[in-house]
Amino acid sequence: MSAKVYEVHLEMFEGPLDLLLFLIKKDDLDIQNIPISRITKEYLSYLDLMKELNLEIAGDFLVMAATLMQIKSHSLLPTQAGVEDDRVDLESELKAKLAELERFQAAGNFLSAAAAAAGDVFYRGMPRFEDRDKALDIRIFDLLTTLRDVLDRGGLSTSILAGEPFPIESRVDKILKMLEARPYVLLKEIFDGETHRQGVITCFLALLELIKLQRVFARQEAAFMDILIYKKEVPAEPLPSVWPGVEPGADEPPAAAAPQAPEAALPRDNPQSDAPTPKEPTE
Amino acid sequence: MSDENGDGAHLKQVVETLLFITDTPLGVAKIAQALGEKDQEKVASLIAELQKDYDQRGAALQVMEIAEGFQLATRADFAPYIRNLYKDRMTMRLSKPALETISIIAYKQPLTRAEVEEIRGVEVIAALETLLEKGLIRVVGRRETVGRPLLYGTTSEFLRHFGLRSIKDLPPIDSFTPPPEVPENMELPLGESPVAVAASQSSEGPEPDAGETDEAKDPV
Repeated sequence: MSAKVYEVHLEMFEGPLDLLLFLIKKDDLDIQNIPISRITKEYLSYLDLMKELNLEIAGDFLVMAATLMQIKSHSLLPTQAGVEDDRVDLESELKAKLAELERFQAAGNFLSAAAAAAGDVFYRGMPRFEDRDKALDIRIFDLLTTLRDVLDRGGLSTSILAGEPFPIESRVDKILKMLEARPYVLLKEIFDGETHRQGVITCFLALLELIKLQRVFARQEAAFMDILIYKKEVPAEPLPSVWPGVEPGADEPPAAAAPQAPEAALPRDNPQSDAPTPKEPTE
Repeated sequence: MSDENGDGAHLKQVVETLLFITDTPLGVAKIAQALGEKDQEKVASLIAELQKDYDQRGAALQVMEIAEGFQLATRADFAPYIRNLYKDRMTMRLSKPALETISIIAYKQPLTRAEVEEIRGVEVIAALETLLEKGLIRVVGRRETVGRPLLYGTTSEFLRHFGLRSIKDLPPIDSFTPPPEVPENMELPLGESPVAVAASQSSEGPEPDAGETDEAKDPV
């Protein structure tokens, strides 16, 4: 997976504690009694996935990984009476933080329900309507979980033929086309027909891009349920040129025909390029 | 009701007018002040009467007690028509991180950004900006420590948005704690049940069971 396909610059509004709590809830675990090996492993696998997607991983995520491993390694070492204070501190501190965050997440859910209940009553000075703000209404970790499930499905070919790029534009088109016929699609469905790991990842990046551009939005009825992707009805604006080097409006070559495109202009096709892709079109 | 009392009927109409025209909830004291009526009890009972009048007559509007005050409001039954009128647009919705952030502020106010971040474990600048912009929180002062950081608290708009009469309407934060299934025991290493601990102690080895020995990958 050396090909740096595309860089997504997503601000992360959710941190390492959110991820840990997410994993604990996903597996229906008890905060006071976390299977540390298992959770560490899962945590690191999410970090790997985020790295593979080139999501910017804040240093905090790495600090948490180190903390988890420290707790784990302590738990493997022989304990001597009186020398285990550190370990207990780290653990209980982490548990306390998770428990506190969990309480506030629950309080947030309560508030959300309260707002929904109060939302049908309007006051003067209220209808404070605003444009559909909708973008990502779900946790990034829910998205990542679906992606991981698809990647883990097996049967995906991991071999990459040189010169067979997976242009994100093609997947953007694919998703938009799926949404032409129907009001929404399941997140899982956007990966249909992908036989390569890179194709799946490209689909996912295309989705993130569409969300960021406010062309689609994602919804989830309740935690751990299927995620639905909706098309956002907006005055048609030309899709801004977000991928470097491609002229807006220029018909992008289909995947198979890509090699004739000048390579310099398409740094994402350059597998060994580890240099960060330019974020802005050259204007 | 107090129809035989001309003065009462007049005052009630004034109260009604004020509750209609205001765009933020009015407290009893404020209404009393506008009425030139010193007796707040009397004002409160006028409001209660008005509330009952509206309900009994099946009026389209209602006198709502909200956000530490009173205000005329529409009824929930008619919400779809209001939405039709405003078509495409939607009432304010908050993302999960924003909701989490505002719940922390609501329960712990006043507090600084750093204190919110300590709990959430992630930067909250963007969430705070959103909440400030929507008028749900405001700066209420500065903490008198190094750097004199800003303190945030919730607003009256916060109460109205979440349908609360006052901040005391929030359930106690401890009510959100799920009942612990296992009694907390600080001596237990994470992830080992009492049984597993007992087993490893009896066999002299602190080595955990097979399930616990998975190699974790290096981070980074």
